[in-house]
Amino acid sequence: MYVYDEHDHTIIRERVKQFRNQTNRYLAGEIKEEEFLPLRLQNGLYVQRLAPMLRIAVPYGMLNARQLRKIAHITRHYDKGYCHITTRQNIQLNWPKLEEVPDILAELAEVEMHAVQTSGNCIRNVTTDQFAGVATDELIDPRPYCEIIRQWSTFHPEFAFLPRKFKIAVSGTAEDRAAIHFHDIGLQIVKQDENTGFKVFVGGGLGRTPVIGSVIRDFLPEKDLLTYLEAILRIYNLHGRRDNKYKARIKILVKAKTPAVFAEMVEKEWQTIRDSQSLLTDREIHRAKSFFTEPEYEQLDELAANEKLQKLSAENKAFGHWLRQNVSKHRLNGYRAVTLSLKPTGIAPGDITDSQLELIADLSEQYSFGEVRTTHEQNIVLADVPCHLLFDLWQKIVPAGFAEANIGTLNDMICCPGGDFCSLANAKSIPVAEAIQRQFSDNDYLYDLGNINLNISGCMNACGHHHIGDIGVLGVDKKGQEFYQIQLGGNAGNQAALGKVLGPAFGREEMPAIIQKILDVYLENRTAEEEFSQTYQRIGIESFKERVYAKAH
Amino acid sequence: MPKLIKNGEVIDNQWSLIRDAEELTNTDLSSGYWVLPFDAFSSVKNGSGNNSEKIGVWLSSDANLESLSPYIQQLPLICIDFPAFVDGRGFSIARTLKEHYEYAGELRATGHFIQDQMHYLHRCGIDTFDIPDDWSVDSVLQSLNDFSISYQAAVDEPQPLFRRRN
Repeated sequence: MYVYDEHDHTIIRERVKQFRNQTNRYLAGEIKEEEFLPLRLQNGLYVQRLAPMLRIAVPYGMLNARQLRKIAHITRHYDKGYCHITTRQNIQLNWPKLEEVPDILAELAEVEMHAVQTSGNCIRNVTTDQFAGVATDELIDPRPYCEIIRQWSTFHPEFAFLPRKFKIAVSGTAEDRAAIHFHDIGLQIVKQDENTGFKVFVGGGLGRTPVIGSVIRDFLPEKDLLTYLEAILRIYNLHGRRDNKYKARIKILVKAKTPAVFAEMVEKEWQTIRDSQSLLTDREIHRAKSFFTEPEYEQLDELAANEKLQKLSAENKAFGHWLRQNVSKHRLNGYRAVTLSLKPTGIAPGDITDSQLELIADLSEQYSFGEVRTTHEQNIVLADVPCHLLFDLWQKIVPAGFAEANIGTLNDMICCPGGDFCSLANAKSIPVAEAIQRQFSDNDYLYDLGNINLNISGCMNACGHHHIGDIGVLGVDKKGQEFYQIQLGGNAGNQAALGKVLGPAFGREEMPAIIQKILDVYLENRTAEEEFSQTYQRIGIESFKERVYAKAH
Repeated sequence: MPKLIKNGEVIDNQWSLIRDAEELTNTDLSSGYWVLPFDAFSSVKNGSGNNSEKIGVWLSSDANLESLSPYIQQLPLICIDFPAFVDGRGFSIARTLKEHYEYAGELRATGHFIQDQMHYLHRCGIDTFDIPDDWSVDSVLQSLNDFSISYQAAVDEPQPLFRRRN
């Protein structure tokens, strides 16, 4: 992964000093509340329902063992001994003290981490596929480009006070796992002849007005990446709406202008800066790539490894389930990527304790070259595990609680912190997730259902990505009461689709039974090969509606 | 009296900013240094033209730079006026004036910006800052120098760090 040089260290250290100074001035009454607000937000610091919340950046999801141990230490000393993996691959602390945040940032800086631009109306943490570099369907590793974008966007002087937040995702694979259709800018790495470049999507997003992004350029040569991004951002900064925060995202501007006109505006701006010094060099692209080279893989025999695994699976059913659900293919023979499930029943999805973080650090060193990735589904991946060590690893993670063989199932739900923590939420989301997990505790039933994305958001800001789940749940407030609306048919990937609202919302206690009815309709109608999304597309929302709202009671 | 910051020092401000047409009609432009609203500026500019080296212009954050472009090179002073500090359009306007229009005169920030934006504003091409009297100059100068190094190209450093790295 990327390693800081003296310049990166200087920049992050100066940021810590800057924020310490700002915090001191704020506490001394020298900065007004409303003027401190964007300063703290651009350091990831929110003031939440019960306490401040600090969002730590995990650039494109990469963490090493040393960083995991530092996070463990921070949660123990400055918080309550746990943290939360977010749907943007970041890490959140729920109980830090405002006056201690500069100290936390100083500790993070020691291990090349920070909380820069994890909130606020600026360019946020760039995200990608959690299997970057090891995926079997990868064209080119997206991480070097993510790092180039990270550096360009970090403290960009022109784009720190945008109309609204701005999120960029990069995908390097055939199957999109980075949700590039649902970002302010989505970049898909493509090849044209022998040249690497990007297909550029713009104006996608969730939130109040969910929109699927539009293509504004089919091929952007890789060296033009930063100048083109700069042109998009400048057009947005100058022309995006600032009169209404709910209409301020770039998607509204792109819609108002139409994607074709927006593309022309970008093109015109870009022509004036495309030959500037920000044009990438071969040397820089090479430098970025040099940090994401292969670890020291062994030469392993795939056939023999697979045979052994099949044998172990036959002997041990629980291991077999885990192998099938939580272990993914790797582009190298004899290796696999392992997803550690942070979704055991009864724990808020994505929550993890200090000792668990330390255990994962140890496991990463023993089994996966000392690195892990956080995922936007709020789990953690060990990306480079040799097959012959999988059984060992499994035995260690069972008692630790990471081996729940539920990845990709209904119970691997995405869930925002909701009304238990977040001051924006209209409703709680964690208790809904738990009630559903308890209702569907039979793993054989879950496996029979196949892959289903259940995404839960506690409000229309959609941190739980409810628009793009097969089943989406949105918490709403009706006269002070919490209700939950259901959406069906969303898709985050290549077949990008926004879910449709099923009908009137339900009370929290009804939710498990309602989900059951939806699943019943699927199970009764599916053909042998169909997953939920395919059955839904074939039979439409009406069949689900009829069952769920049938006047039986 | 507001203070003016230039190159890390407090200097005298000889310019007076005229907010609107009414203020303009009560002002004698034939002597002194005046900063006019853009609309008024273009009519004054196309009129008599005396004292023109002592006439500057201030831009609101929705300014159309193309209509200003015929005059840009002769202007001794352009002020970018911030209506609210969260309105970041001025950052792009500043950079565009300096980089695209190659404006060589003085670029000044006026209106509602905050101390903690001054480092970025300077990077975007702002030369001078009109700051309220109650701001601590020492503290302002510290904020101006929050960072000694930057990743991106901007007006203060046309080469991004990746072209300067060893």
